[in-house]
Amino acid sequence: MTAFFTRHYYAVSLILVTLALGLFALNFERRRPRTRELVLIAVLVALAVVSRAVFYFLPQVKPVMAVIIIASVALGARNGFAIGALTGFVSNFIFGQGPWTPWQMLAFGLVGCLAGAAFAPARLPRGRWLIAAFGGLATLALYGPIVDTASVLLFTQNLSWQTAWPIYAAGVSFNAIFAASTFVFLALFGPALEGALTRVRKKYGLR
Amino acid sequence: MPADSSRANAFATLHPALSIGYFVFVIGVTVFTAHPVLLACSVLGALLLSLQLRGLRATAKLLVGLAGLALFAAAINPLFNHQGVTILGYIDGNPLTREALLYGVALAAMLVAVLLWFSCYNQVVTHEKFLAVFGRVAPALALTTSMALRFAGRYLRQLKTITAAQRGLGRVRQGDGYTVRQGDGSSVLSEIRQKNRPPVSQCTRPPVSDRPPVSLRLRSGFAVLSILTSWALESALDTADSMHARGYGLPGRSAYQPFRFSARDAGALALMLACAAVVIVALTSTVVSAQYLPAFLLNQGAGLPGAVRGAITAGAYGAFGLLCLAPTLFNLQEEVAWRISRSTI
Repeated sequence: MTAFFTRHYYAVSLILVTLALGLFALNFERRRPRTRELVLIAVLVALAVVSRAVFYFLPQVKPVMAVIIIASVALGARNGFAIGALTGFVSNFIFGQGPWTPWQMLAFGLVGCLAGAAFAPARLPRGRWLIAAFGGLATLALYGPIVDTASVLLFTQNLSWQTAWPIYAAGVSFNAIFAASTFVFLALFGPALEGALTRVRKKYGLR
Repeated sequence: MPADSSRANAFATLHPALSIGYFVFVIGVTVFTAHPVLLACSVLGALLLSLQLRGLRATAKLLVGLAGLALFAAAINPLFNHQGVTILGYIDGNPLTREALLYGVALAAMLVAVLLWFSCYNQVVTHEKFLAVFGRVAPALALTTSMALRFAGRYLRQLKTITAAQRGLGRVRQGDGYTVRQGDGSSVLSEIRQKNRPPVSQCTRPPVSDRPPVSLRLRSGFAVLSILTSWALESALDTADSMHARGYGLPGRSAYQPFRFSARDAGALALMLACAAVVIVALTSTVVSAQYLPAFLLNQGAGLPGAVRGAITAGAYGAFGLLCLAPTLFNLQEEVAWRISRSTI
């Protein structure tokens, strides 16, 4: 029996990822977010995108994830997913859309969602080192594997460990640098960014 | 008619929903089937369109950049996948099979085709078109996305102002890296793209030994970013209040639609649907199919009579070939029509 599509692993996974992002979109629209919330999310997404450009003088060192995590910790899990997914989408308008966009959106979104959930009030304390450790770990163990898995699905026909490991191995150094820079950014400048967010929220009486 | 209605990119003047649907279908077939004939059509179509829209230089540059990735894709399968039935030889005791080699080549072609299509997509479906289409389906998300895109450009300009002020205070040194180059201001994207190149100021930067250490540059970089954050959040909340005051989100309000569905769009849609239908029938009946591993099987379809299968196969190849070449032909035809009408004046 010939498969409907030769590359059904890629097809099915792409459909699932699109479905997940679609469900998020539906949930977001249904919630009818208030104007202030919408604008705040747009600002944080734009800041994350711009932060990718500010530090261009150090290759592979990107504070995008640090900005997403701080924003998600401040605004909660649901908005965290929105900020992460939209950052992936919007920054790819600038750095190039491609077959990786849906996975990148999902990976950024999930890290944001997890950050919002883990550091919600009455859960983990929002300590500088705890958030930094979380950011490094989430980048290494969640963002990296998801984006690498997208490459595995794109590069191979039948999922097998034999063909998958060289692709994961090729990604390790990139993920490690990204995770380390996320850790450093969060540890050094996380509190400053969080402070700026909290100050504005207090001043304008948001939540 | 939108501003980008140049003859060279007449395809881009079609309704954006059509363009988006076109790219989704062509890229989808390319990625999911990996059929050698369909892949060849796709590579050819994407290459011609890229040459037409982006020119020889940009296309060649993209292809050179893609070569490494394509080589990686072509090599990874034969080297690490030993499933195929035809063994060509042994590397370190592991079999090198013809099927894995073929699949590697098909994958490389697929990647080249997809990335070429995406480079054309970025020329045809600009973000305002994308947002115009999805603004109806997901208005809140489309609005947020479009605001984020607009803010990104504004923040890069504001960064320049903040950096200048900080420099005046002696906190940031000349050529510290995040000087935003003076663009023509025409588009947000071109400005950000320029930012990713080494700035002009790099030419006049002090020698490496005189520059502040990376840790200091990081620190001043983040100082600027945190000033920007405060400014951005405050001005955005004013924007939000202003939107609220003007009745954003109240029921019964409609959005301006910059793109109209014309008779020409209907004709293009009919042609695309006809071609797509033939391809979809051929693929779902598995009359046109390709399997690489463990054995290479081409067009091993359902138990239809040979003549019918031949007709469907030929139809699918023709339809997909036409579909892949359609944008290039459409642009050419517009160019020819323009030349003729100009020469008869």
